[in-house]
Amino acid sequence: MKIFKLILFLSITIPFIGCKKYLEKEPRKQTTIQTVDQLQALIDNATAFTYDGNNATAAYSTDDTEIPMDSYKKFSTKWSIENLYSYVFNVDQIVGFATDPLWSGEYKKIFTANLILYNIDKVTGDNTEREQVRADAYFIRAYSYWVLANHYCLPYSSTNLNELGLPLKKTVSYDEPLTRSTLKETYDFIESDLVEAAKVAVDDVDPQKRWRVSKKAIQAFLSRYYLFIGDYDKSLENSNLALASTGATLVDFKTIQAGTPASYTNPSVTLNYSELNNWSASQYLYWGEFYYARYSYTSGQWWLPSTALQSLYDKSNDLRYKWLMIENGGRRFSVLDPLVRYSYFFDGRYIPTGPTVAEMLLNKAEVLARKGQIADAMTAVNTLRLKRLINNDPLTASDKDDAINKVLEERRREMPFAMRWFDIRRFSVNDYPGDDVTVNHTFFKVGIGVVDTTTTVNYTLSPGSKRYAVPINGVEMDASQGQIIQNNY
Amino acid sequence: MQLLTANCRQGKEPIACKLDRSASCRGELIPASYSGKSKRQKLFRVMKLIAIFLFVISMTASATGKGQTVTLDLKNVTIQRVLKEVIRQTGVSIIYNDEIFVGLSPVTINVKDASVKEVLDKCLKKEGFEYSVEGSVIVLRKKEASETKLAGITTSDEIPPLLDIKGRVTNEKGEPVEGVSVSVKGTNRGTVTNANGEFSLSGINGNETLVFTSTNMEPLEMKVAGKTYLTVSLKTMVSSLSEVTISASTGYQTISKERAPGSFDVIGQDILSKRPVSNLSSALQGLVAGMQGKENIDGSIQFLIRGNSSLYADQNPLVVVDGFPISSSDFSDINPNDVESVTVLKDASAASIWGARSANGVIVITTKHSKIAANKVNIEMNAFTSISNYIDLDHVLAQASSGDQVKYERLAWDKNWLFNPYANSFTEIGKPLTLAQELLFAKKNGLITEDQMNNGLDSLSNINNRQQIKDLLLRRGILNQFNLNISSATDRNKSYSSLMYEKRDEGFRGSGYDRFVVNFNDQFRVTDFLEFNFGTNIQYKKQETSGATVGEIQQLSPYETLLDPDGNYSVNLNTWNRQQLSLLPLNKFPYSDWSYNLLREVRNRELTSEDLSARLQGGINIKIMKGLTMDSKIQYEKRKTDYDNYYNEETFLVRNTVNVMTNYNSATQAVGTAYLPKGGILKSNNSNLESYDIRNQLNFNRTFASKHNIVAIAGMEITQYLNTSKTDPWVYGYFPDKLQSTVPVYGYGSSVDQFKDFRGNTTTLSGGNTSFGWNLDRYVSYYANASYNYNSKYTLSGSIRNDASNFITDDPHLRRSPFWSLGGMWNMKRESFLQGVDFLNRLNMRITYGKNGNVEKSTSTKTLVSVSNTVSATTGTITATVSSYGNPFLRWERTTTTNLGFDFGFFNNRLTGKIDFYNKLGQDIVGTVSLPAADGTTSQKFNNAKITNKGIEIELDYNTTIGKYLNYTSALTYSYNRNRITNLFYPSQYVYEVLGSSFVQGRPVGSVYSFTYLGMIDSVPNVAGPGGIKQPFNDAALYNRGLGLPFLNYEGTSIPPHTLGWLNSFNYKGLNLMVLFVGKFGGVYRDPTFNFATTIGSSKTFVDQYVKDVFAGDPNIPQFPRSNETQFYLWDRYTPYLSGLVESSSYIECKQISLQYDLPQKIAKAIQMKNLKVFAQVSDIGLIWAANKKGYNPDWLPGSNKPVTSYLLGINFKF
Repeated sequence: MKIFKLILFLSITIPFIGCKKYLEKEPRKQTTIQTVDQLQALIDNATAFTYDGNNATAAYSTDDTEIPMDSYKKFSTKWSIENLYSYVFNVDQIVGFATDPLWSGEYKKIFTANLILYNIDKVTGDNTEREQVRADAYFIRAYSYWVLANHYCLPYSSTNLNELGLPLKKTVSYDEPLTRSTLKETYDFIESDLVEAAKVAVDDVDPQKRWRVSKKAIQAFLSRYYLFIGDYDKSLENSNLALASTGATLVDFKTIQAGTPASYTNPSVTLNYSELNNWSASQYLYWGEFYYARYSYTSGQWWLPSTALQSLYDKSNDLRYKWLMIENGGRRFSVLDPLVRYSYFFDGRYIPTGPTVAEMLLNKAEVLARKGQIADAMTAVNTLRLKRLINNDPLTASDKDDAINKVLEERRREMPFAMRWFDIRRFSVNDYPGDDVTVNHTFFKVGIGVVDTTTTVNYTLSPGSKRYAVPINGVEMDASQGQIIQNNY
Repeated sequence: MQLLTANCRQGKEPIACKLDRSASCRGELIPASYSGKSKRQKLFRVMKLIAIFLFVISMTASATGKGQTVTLDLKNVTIQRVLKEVIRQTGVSIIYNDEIFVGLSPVTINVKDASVKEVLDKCLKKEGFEYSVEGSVIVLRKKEASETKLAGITTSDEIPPLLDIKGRVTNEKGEPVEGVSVSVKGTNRGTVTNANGEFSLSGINGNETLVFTSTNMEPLEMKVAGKTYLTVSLKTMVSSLSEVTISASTGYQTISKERAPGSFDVIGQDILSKRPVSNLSSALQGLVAGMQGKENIDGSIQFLIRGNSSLYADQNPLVVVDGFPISSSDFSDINPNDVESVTVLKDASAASIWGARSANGVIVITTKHSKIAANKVNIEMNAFTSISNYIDLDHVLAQASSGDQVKYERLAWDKNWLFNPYANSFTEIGKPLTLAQELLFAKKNGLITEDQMNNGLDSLSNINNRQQIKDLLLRRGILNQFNLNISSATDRNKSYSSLMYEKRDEGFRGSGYDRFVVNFNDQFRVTDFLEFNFGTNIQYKKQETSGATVGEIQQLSPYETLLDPDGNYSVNLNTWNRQQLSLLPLNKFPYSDWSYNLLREVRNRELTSEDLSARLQGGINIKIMKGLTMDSKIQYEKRKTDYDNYYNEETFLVRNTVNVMTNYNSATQAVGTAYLPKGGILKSNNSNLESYDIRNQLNFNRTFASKHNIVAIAGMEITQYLNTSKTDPWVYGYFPDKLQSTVPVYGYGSSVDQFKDFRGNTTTLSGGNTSFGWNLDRYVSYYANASYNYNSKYTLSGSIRNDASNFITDDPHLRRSPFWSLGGMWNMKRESFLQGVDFLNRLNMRITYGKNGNVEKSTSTKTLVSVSNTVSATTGTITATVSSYGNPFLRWERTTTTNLGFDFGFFNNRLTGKIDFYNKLGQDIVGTVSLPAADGTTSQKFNNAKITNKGIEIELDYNTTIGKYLNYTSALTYSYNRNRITNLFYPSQYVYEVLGSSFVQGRPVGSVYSFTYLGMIDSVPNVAGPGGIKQPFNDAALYNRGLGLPFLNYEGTSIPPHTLGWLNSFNYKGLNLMVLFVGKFGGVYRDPTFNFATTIGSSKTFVDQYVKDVFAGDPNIPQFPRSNETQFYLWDRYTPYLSGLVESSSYIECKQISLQYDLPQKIAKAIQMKNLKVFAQVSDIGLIWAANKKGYNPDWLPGSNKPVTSYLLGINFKF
């Protein structure tokens, strides 16, 4: 009997010894990062990287935007006070926002890039894929820091190099300091990331994956990067390299079809959209001109071109006006005044800001013009205009100033709202005072939480203004427990 | 069986101490002692001893001693040991007095398959004992010369007429007491009461006195006095109250409450059998101090034990059935009729044996097992029907009346409170209006005249759709339950089986379920040291939810009928603008009828689910040595639920889905490709749960030197829960009668194959993918506890447990966490200095300290990702997102609890109760912490919050008999809980967060804040902002961006700190009336108020009933906006949170009244039954007091589907 008991006891107990591995089985599938596939899937979640958070600066702080005062008076609910603060270059109220979607959005992309870079050499998987993902992550980080630097820091110039740069997060650790680097350190870091990204093996853009990085995409971005720090030679060199792409090509606007029109009564109008207006992410992610897909977004889908901007277009001949500037577009939001609304993709939510063939031609033209190579500059501009106008009457320039002026006008027509904020900052610090822009917004007095429609104020943003740096969110400074400090105003 | 022997032991010991063990006594017991003393005196003495010290060793049932066999191989053991073995093997009840065996020499017995009679004869006859089988019990006594002597005495007196006497024995509560020995004083004649407390004796002399004795009851003598029917009420013995009747199950062991320092509450059959329910939780409401219930619409309760102890982890108590945790905490797959008792473990000492999952308390359910003797069968049947009132539409629909809605819509139109109004364009087709607003726009657009509009609006004002909703969509809810259980036993095997069938028709037509629960358990004794247990619980539930839902009827305007006067489906507006829809070439679309009607929808869909769940348990118990046993148990649980939602072509869902997925050019009015086939749509998915729990445990229980008792267990277990689910692709073009289906011939659309819907938007078809869910939880635990008791006075206990789970962490050490507890108990009444205090019957002091844990598994030390399981239609790739940014401080949440408790009994235990004080400190609680966005996220969950819960719990039971038959018992439970979040780094909280449900440091979970209302200034309402500035409602900036804590008013907590339960029970003969009140005090809630942001013109809008307060000009709330006000759509950011709207949520509710009647035995007998009981119950009777002015039940504000009064009638038979 005793032996029987012992056998029973042991036979029940023994299976329990040694279950160390038992608890290592994870509670969910694919939760910890173990394979390159998972990191690639993070990159392939393209919509996490391609949009800005609500960019009120791009939509409201430039001379591309104008809110007609009488329309505001009649339809004041159509403009949120948050956006008006950007329109009048406010500081304190913007600091007081609950959150800054542009800032937090870019840092979220940077976190993911850091996460990928932290894990890239630890995970299993195909090496070709690993190198591609690594390049993607470096590029994402560089791009986001570039966007942040061009909003929250003063423009890049030799005199500003020791001004406040960005908090440079390079790891996923919460313990990493968030003190602001200098502007020079910020740009050096961006450049070093671009150098790493440029090691990518793939040469040209994959038309089916325009959110993945390629040599051509890096060159296109470098063309922009160097243009903005005033290194025109390198910018030109990279523009030319990028323009050799066969993956990114100019779209002929004459091939764009009409989209679903919208008719309204009382008074009767019909809004004629292009097909692009109907496009959703599964189409506009593949916009043929992109080297790399990236968009700006504004809440309310409300990009309002100023009369100055509108007057730059040959309205009957320029397809960019025909398809993207929607006359009576305010009816979309029950604004009965005949306002023009700029609408690119997806009911006007998103406008392309990533490097495109058009931008390369314009970067090239600008550098050539600034170098005095007027004819070449005009050739580059006319290459673009050929695909934008119904009847292209080639542009010509009389001299260098005229050439620069024509190129910059074309640049403004091609990339309104998308590039304007960046450009006016750049113009204010470059060596050519002729391109300086002073933004004048004549509007009602915008107080704390209220708009005083009885008082009119002329708000200006002039070259040299400290307000070229967008204020950093106050909550962000608090949450960093004093590490992140505000710009000087 | 263990219970029986335990009773025997516990009952015996205190008495054994008092026994006279003198040599002379010993001498009397052997046959040689016939000589000498007066035999009459001796007889009297022996009879007295028997009377006082008789023990009944069976709680239930009956044994005839026929047919059971015994196998014994015992050497040099006491006779008691032999008897116990006989009892254990056969289940017979044997009554004897230990005293009669004193001084006997040990016996040796070796029999195989012998009858009880043989064994008794063998070991007792020669020692001078005799036995008789009386009723169902064997009574042992010492053989003496008394019989002849007795006869002599009797015959020497005058012979009175001999009577046949019957009677019934009950306890204080009027419940029948089984197993009471009834003997004729001065004789050895007697019997024992049956399950109904009845007895009968024949040939009794009318002058004689009957003596009633029982293990747990105070003995009683009663003169026959010529009566032939006796009603006897016995009092429960003090010692048995404390020592025998109350034992608590922790799931790992059953312990005597008198030796357990922990805070337990036990709810037994005395309550459970009187509360017929569908879900066990309903029967527990109001009975346990410190267990706060939140009621669900189906009457089931969600419990919170001793306050919130976690912010994000599971708040539900752990539910344990027969020793194993079950995966669902909603009691839904338990047959309430199978439940024997429920033990609630509240403090660290009680619950810490459950370690990492016990911080929220543990509810331990013990199911019924067969307790009857061999070769007997008990059958019990129970059936009831419960009928509910109609759902109260005036409560569920918080909408304005048609008149008020039209009045508001006209007012808003006239005052131009429009918001993005419908602009009469095809692109506006997604703006459905109300019937009234359609008229307003039609007039504006010149389609109708002003008179037509006014007539239309007036007629809408006079329509009330509630009668139609009631007639066509609602019904009285009916719940039918039928339950049958059978207990049986053979020599080696005891089994209990039950079958329950339940059918519920819910208050909405077309919704309800049928369910069957089969339960079976079996105890199988292989040898004297080896026992097997098996149990299965299987539930099948078929549910239909086709009926309308609260949400759907709330989407009807008050003037939208279901059927028009001709009996056709009338227009219910939904999804699309009717005017724009009418401009489409509808006859070219797949379905030309694009209209919606709720009744039509309900009638043409079949939403069903089938649930099959099984819980299997198996166990083996090995006796290793004296006092030491080993248990090895396994539970396997499997649950599979299949959902099938079928919509036929008549439903809007199908017609709309197909029409929307049709290509259309709004400019040319050309209808193109229809991507979907016509026909019904079937959506199916299923979920599966599979779990196992394997446990090995050593149990030790031994008493040394009669004063030192040690009870200890030690064991280990591993547990796994695996949840999986699968959603199938939708079946299109489905015709179930023809078994036809059609795959969309154009595919489903993708990034490379763009579909355009009828509005020109790019789209893909829904339901193209199969999607999967998968979740695995594993635990490995080691545990031990021990308690030492000295002389039944002092108890010291301790427990330790180490839990580990499959957390994701780089450091495996973080997975393990030790939890432990210490406790002491002092049975003060046993001290000599309290012996003389007569009014005090019981006084225990308990003190415990220990740590429990909780699991929050959403974070990890690592950054976690979530990878999609289908290819994105946007990118054509698998995609992933970051699901957790990493919690480097990850560890178990730990709650440290200190508990001080007293148990007391006064005035012959007429007043009993207990009081507990506790302090729970939660540390390492997972809380959301603010981070700079530069870290990638603005918040992350870290283990750095602290929560305290302090409280008092009082339970009082009062029991009195009024007059001869009326017995009243009152059980009051009261608890107070003070909850605070003491540590949480989340300083920058915006107004909207503070007003919402966010957690605030220094405040309880559920804190309620408000604005100070300043009234209307320039036609715009204002509240006081920071520093008292006036904040107009027209600007939402303060709400969205202001920091809330510096200026918002703290009003209190939405979770009432004081809770009360009061159960009153009246017994009169067989009649029992029970009334339950529950109350909650000290909390606050917000009165709902008019939604000032009620815009018109842009969608189908609803006006709520509180608009009449604004029409009436209530000064505590804003007035209507001025004409042309454009910002009023922001007013609802402020209005609901005004301080004047916060009211006390205290209330007292009469929850239930139940009445039951045990039919007299004569009647039951006449129809061949042991017992017959009828019962009735009214539930959810309503509030009897509420602190708020409006008379709301704060748990069920208007707009919620509150439980309605229900009436129940049932019957219970026992065979």
